[in-house]
Amino acid sequence: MKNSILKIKNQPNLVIGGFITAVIIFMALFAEVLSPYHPVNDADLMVSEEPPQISYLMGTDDQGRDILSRVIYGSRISLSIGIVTQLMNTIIGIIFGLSAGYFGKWWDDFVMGLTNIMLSIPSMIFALAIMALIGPGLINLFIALGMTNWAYTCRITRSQVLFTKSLDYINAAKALGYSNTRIMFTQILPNILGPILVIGTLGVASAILMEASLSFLGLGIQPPDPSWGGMLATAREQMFTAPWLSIFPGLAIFITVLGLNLFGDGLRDILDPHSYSKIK
Amino acid sequence: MDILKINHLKTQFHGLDGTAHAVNDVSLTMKKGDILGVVGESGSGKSVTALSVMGLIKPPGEIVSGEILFDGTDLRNLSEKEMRKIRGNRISMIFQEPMTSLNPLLRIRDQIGEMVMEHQNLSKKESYNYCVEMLEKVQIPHPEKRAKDYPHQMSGGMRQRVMIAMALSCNPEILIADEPTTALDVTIQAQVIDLMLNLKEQYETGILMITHDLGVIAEIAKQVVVMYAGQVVEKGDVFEIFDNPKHPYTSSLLKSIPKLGRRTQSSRPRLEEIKGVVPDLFTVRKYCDFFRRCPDATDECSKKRPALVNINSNSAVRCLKYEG
Repeated sequence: MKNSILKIKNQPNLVIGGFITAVIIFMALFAEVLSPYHPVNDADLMVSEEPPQISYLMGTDDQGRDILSRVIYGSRISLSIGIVTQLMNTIIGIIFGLSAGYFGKWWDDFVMGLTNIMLSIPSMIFALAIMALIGPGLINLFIALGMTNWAYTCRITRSQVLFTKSLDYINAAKALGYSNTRIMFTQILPNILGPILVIGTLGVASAILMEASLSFLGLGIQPPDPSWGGMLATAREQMFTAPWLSIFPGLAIFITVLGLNLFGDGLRDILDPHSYSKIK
Repeated sequence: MDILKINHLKTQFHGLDGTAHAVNDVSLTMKKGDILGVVGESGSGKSVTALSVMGLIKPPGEIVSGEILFDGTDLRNLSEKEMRKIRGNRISMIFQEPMTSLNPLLRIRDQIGEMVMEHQNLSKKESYNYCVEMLEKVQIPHPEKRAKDYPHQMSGGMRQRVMIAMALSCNPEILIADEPTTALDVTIQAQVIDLMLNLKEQYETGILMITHDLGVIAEIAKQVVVMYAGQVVEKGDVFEIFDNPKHPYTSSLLKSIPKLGRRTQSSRPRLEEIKGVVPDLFTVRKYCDFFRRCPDATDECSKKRPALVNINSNSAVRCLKYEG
């Protein structure tokens, strides 16, 4: 325990990234308390497009809504989409990767073929196609993004399984008559969770970016619900006359993604002893 | 009663360089509750024989022919599902490397717990109690405390004992021990062997002891099978093999054991080694596999392949000296 605290202290990436991520999560959890105005209902056309000032720290948009409040509420959408979709991706990736690596043969070829196809289609285009097919909305966003990004997790899982399944204790488990499911989930999976966790954290960041892009294109969260990408989309026309409309949501996306990426990198450094020793 | 009877087993590995005849026509018999020792150099086919019995030969390996009769049923005819019920439950196995044979992320109680949960449908609580009981049986001090340990907190000897506890937790009829003491130091070896003997008495488990350590065999085995290049070259009673080895390979093996007390101040007699190496397994020779290394080789040995000749009801030897 003492050892792991020491390790964390030596990881500026992990500390900074973790702090940023924690702040964003805190913002999302306590949005009601933190935001000075309601993000949708407190629209006052008398104060539309006000620059940042004491009563509106980040200014107001064209309908007189407080941008700070909308950015705070927007973190809910971004985080929930990032976490839920990456969770879906991770589960799909683990199931495919674990079974492909463990059973091999035609199933492995099939899964690898499928991942190669997934990797060769730009995930943005794929998500766009799904969204165009099933229409915009939060649940549909979950579905579209939750099915597009599992190929990396799948490949990493498979390669880790290929290595792990040849280890002595897996052979011993086979010789002691463990069932395949038991070997996969109680013997192999816990030993390969590290890299999956790392790629999962990085995946949350890319899912947040994807959501912002889709909302920017008008296929994601629909107005008036606040989402960072959607706010950028409506702010596009006033980019020069009222730059704060796009700067703050853009900054929010930037900081969140940066925080998550730093956190993921930091996790990799402590979970993977090779890269850790390099840093030290 | 014969609990395990292997008849004319042939296991081969198909590689790019051809087919390796890892186990080439091996037959052996093991009586219920007995200890059968299998000795041989590295690459003589001991471990492959054991893995064949367990049904754990993976492609490119393949059991080509032969029968493996366990309690009367041929294990080769069983489905993977039926085989899994036998593995761990009725035939168990422990391996050479105790350091890597335990899952590093599971506590000892979970490792043993998984085992009994798989085969005996015990609840978590029951399996934990059972684990402590098993640890006590394999003489691990403070079993309640040790059950919560991770493998890296234990020494090699203790881990091997945990492996034995796992292997014996379902009370199997046969325990296959693949060089169980090779990676341990001598004092721990003795403890582990003692423990296996005790448990054998207690559970009436038959042990198939695979080793290249003749000392271990002399200590515990009743029947011995000597393997060379995938074949049985001699089998018989342990005393007979040690006191009166018939095959030149067996006698050379016995001569190559270092003996304590043979060294004197001025000189020490040179330890005898067997010249040469195990012949490659890819070719099937028309002459004796041991011909090039054999001290007693004659011209005839280079022309004819010896067959296994029965000397009496339970001993046999594969050498032309005893043929005809």
